[in-house]
Amino acid sequence: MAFRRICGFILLGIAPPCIGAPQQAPQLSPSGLAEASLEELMNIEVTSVSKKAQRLSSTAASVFVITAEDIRRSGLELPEVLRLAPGVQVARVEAGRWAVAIRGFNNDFSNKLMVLIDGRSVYSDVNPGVMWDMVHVAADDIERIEVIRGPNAAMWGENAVNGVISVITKSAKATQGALITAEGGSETEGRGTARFGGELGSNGFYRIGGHYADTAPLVSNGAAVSVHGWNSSSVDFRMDWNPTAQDSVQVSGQGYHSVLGHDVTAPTASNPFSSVMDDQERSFSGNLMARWQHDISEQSSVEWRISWDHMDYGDANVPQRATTVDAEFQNHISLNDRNDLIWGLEYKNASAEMTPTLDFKVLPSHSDRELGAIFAQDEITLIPDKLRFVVGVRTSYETAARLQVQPTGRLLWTPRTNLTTWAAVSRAVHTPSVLDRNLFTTLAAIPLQSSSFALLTLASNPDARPESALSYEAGQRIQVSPALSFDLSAFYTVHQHLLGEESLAPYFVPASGIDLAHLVLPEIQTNARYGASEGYELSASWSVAPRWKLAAGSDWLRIHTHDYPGMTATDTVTDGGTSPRYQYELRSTLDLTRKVELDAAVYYVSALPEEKVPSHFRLDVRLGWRLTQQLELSAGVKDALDPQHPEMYSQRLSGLEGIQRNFYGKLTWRF
Amino acid sequence: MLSLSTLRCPAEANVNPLEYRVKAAFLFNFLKFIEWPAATGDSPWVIGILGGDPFGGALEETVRGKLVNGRAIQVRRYAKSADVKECNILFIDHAEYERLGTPSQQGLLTVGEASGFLQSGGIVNFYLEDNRVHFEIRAAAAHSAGLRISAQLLKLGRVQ
Repeated sequence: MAFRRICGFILLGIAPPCIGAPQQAPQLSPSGLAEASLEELMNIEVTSVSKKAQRLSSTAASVFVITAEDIRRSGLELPEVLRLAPGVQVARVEAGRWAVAIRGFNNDFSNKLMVLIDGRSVYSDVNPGVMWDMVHVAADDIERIEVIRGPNAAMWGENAVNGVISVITKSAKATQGALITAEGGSETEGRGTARFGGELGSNGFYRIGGHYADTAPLVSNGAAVSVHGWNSSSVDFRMDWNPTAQDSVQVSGQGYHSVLGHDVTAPTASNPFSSVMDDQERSFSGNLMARWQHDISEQSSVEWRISWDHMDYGDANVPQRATTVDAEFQNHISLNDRNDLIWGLEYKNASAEMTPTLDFKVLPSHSDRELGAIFAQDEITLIPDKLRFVVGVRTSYETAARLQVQPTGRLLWTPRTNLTTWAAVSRAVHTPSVLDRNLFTTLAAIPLQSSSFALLTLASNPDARPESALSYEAGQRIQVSPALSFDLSAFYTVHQHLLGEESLAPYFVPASGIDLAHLVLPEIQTNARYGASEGYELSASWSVAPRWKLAAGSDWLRIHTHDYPGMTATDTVTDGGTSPRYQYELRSTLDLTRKVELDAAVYYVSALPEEKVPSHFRLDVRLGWRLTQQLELSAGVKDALDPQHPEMYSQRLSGLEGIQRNFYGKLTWRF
Repeated sequence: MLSLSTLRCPAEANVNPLEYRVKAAFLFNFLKFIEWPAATGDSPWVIGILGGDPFGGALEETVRGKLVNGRAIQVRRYAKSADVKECNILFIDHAEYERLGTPSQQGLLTVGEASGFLQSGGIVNFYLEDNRVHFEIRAAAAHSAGLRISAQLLKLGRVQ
């Protein structure tokens, strides 16, 4: 009975996009639906996205949901499509690499953002961060992307310090039949996907799909930085099976291959002090996941999940092979009318082997890490339908981070169904990754005046401790009318033990053997800084007319950090230099006719002066034409205003590469 | 990490209640937009379910207390095709139509939700597109069963 209360839909009067004049959307109870017209029935989204309204109104966190329709009409793939969520910074660094972060501290190795695909983590414990060149989910397979800003470690685990991005794929039942897409463009040179879904016996569905994509290399002053761009291909499948009415099983997997080209500038200890190699990195990965959900009763359900992940990453600097096995158990119990409890256990085993290269060594080169965790969250109803208190904690023991406790307390106040106020206090930690502790590298060779040179080296502190953050957040959601809604959230986060590069005293090395005498400028990666970050995110949604919808967003961020006494930290990540102070966006989706769509989006990202990245206006325009029930054409331009522009300095390439304007055309065929 | 959202909704895993609530509403609407061959006085309309019931009570709730052309609506369940009689609309769950077959009777509107349903003799078939429930109609089959489908319904469905 309690489940029905939670899962029943509380109407917030949000009119679905293509429906008739701003009327009340139909009540979704059976008797309410019986009153709905045929057209209205045909416009109701029946998968869990329609629960979005209820979820958002009763979630004590800063959440933004990117729907499948948002994805389709933006023409963007992961991770570019994350630009739609205010508060997320997406910067393309290379042809196949992105720096993505929420609430700051962005770079190639953005380490405070957890990313999940159907519950499976794609965050690497080695680098750290998410290797976006190894992440692929076909845009048409995505049901929705939940962007949860702020620490949610109690439910999502370590490294969810500033947020979680949860990508949820469509069920196999929702992707039946065949789908073929083909896309070509000036920057996306070619991309093709094929997918087929069918039934499995009487209670199951499956889908199998593949993709192939070729992306042009980035440019520097108009010239391509490398002969090669980025090529990726994959095969993936998903199977859903309901053996009984209380059980549902999901099995999914993927095999993935990527070739990323670039110029690598490698420092050497003799003239000319650096050599440039045109290199191609070949990587492949495979993953498998199985999930079983069982409803014990109306009040209780359990879920088991196990996943296996193997990656062979041909990075030019730190090639690595990593295998991760992760198993999780979760139980959801509605204890009584007042308590909704979720608790669970997790075990993870991650092993990685790093291959040394000329300038990068990892000692020890083999790493084995284990994690055991228990988490629990109770949602307590203080005043039914009006006031709820959520308390949660995650206690974990991990090889590197040792014992960590990450609690959270949240309050949700809903004085009226169209008004929600929430506040939260949470603690989260970032576990030092393998490279955070074990890396030794020569970053650059700098020629000096006296025909000598200096070597800039970086070593990691093997005893680096986890970073910790304590975040105070609050938010307000207002449903002004069925067509207009606002969502505002603000935060103040105190950071301790931020990992950054600290400069130590230079020393002189006399000549020996073939090596010339030189100066060494040592840097050490250690817990160098502390400080705070604060900001807000605002999003608004307005159904102007039955066929025209506008969405707007803005976010503002300030990071102020200080060196620990006695340290001189030099990196621009922890001092906020890689995070834009503010971003704005305005998106419009317009149905010109029943078959033609015109979509446009404008984004503004403020400058990163320390990185020499100027501020940037981005304009995307897309025209979609549904020729027949089965055939759809779309064409458009991404980044219409600038022939090329940079977004972020690449740490590993020591350079700033430009992303080109992209004129593209795409064909989608379903049958 | 598990969980699909910060607010979990466990019961949605297998049978999506909203999908079947919408389909139940469609079945109720079909009564309004289709003309049956012989009016049978005051006896109630019958919506039947052949084989497994995926509605979980939603169908009963949808039709409770409603009248179409002055007649009430009843929901019945049948285990076999041969049991089906005096039924106006028969819904066959996607898992069952292959096993139980699709009966063809005068005045019987058969409704399914599987990709081969129309080919195997069904008249109306539900399918999901863009997360929304749509339906397709085999006009010839409707005609042979003596049913007249209103232009409004034909306009909204995909007609084969």
